[in-house]
Amino acid sequence: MSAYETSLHVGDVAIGDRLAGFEMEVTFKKVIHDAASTWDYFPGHHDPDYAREQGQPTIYLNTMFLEGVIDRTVTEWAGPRSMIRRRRMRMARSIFAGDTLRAVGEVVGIHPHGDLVEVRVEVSNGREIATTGDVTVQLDVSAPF
Amino acid sequence: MPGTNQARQAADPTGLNLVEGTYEEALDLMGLRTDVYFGQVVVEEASVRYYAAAIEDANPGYWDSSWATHQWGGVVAPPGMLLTLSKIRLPWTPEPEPRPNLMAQIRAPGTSVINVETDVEFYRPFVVGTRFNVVDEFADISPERQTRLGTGHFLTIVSRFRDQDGRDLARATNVMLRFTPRSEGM
Repeated sequence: MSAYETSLHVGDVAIGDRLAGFEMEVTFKKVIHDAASTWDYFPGHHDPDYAREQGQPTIYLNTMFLEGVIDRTVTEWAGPRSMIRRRRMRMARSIFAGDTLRAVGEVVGIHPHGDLVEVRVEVSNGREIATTGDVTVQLDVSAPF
Repeated sequence: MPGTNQARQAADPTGLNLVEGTYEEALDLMGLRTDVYFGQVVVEEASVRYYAAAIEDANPGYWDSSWATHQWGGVVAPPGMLLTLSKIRLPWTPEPEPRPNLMAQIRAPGTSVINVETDVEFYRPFVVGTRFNVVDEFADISPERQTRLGTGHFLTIVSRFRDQDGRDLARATNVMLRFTPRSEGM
């Protein structure tokens, strides 16, 4: 099933349902694109010498990119009429240029009256879990908002 | 041997202008709030798609103008663009623009900073044409901790985001580690 083809309703969802997620090669260019598209010139995201002075091996993705990865995991599954209502994200490890990022998710809660679903998303850097997110998504928001 | 605070600031390439101080000085500053400041651009399609291209996110809310207008009232920015649209500053502008920076006002131990946790609530979609405004508050600082990266303190910043009509758009609670890297000298 392609991403964004359908919009889920709360009755379609069960606790334990898996979100397919996706994989992405994190090239040096991708990390630079991340910094540029988010206007974020914090040097850890574009300057390998600075990253090493911080104790990191090379440049790494920023918070806004990781948020985008988590949100994409949820909205690809929930559909184009879904809306992220809350996202809590913890960053335990960084994702570096050269890593392969892998995002997966699982439904952990359902609130039928609000059409709200809670999803746990995990993003790994190929070695360990780098970032986890707890997302509350509203399903099938009626048009127009 | 690192020099004075002034020398450290001059050498600080992060642009955050971190000012070192004691834990006690930081505790005294808790509750500090910035003035309201405004995003430098309105939400528009080009930057929405440049970010969506980085994430490789095909959500039609970002890419399909007519569908997005029907669903949301216009193309919408991904929620992950919240800070870019509101707080992050262009590297250059024709006239100097105020760069409100709460971190620069927080005297605390540590020469480096890294994000640890964010918690964001979203109240309205970020429709093209929206101009953000935001207020930051220094909410908390933890006692000293030993971490993998070095000795430091966890700082909590709360930000409230509104649109040009004063409607709430989002609220973010951000925890950062303010630390001294293990590689730095005594």
